[in-house]
Amino acid sequence: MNKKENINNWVDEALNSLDNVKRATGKPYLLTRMNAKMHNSNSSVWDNALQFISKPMVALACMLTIIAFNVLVISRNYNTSNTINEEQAVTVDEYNANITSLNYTENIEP
Amino acid sequence: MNQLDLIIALQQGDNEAFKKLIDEWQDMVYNTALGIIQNEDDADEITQEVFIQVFQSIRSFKGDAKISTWLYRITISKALDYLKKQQRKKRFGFVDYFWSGNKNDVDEGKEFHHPGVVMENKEMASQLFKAMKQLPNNQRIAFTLHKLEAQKYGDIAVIMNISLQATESLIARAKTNLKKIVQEYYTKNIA
Repeated sequence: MNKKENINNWVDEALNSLDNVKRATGKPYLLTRMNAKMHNSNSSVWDNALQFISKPMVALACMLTIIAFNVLVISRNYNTSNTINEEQAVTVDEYNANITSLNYTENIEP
Repeated sequence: MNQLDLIIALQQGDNEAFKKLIDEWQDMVYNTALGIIQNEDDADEITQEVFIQVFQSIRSFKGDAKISTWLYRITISKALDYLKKQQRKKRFGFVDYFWSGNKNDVDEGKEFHHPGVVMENKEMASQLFKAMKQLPNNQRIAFTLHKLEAQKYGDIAVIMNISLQATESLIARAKTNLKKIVQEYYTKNIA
């Protein structure tokens, strides 16, 4: 018998291997497990939300978003405060408001 | 209790009738799901889902088809949903891992042994099941109903809502494809 015939025999055997197969039987206590499943599926929206948030990757993503938002707010504030300081300096120069002592004004020669 | 009485009792919320429905058709649903998806735990999960859906939608069942046909249709629909989910998992495995922290558990190479196959055919049947995974869904379903559930072509046509000729053609194509796949396997791995 050559190789090709061998292969053909195996193929036929494989195709006929499900002849007279018996029906597989399910696990016992299906009704009990179904009741438990139906009970679990009735859990509230809050339970599902908490379950989602508690996933490590979701928690990490939230944390990174909060950190990024904080960095953004801080950098914006820093830029704004620099601009205000420059404006203040100009105002101070214009009105000689940088004089902190009355003594100094009294000693100014006319 | 005949089928009509059973349906009426189910629609009235009779728990005993529901228990009887499960006792009578649980194995049929489980065996069909197992043949299509080839995983015992998931087949059990699908069996539960099928009967939950029956429980929730029995009032809308008009009785124009046999209960077994209705159950087969729900089982097939659930099994196909499962297969779609598996394919999605495979495609977006990385994204799923990132969001859920769970590793992708789709295992294509895992051997499946149907508990109803006689011992001397186990290895051959395992190869056949592996080949069945490569069939298009409609061929896979028709072949499963024909081989594992011993359904006649006429009944498969009713379950799948197609003509008798289409059923015959589906099963013939399934057999041809399976033969080709199994032949390739033996040529590559054994010869």
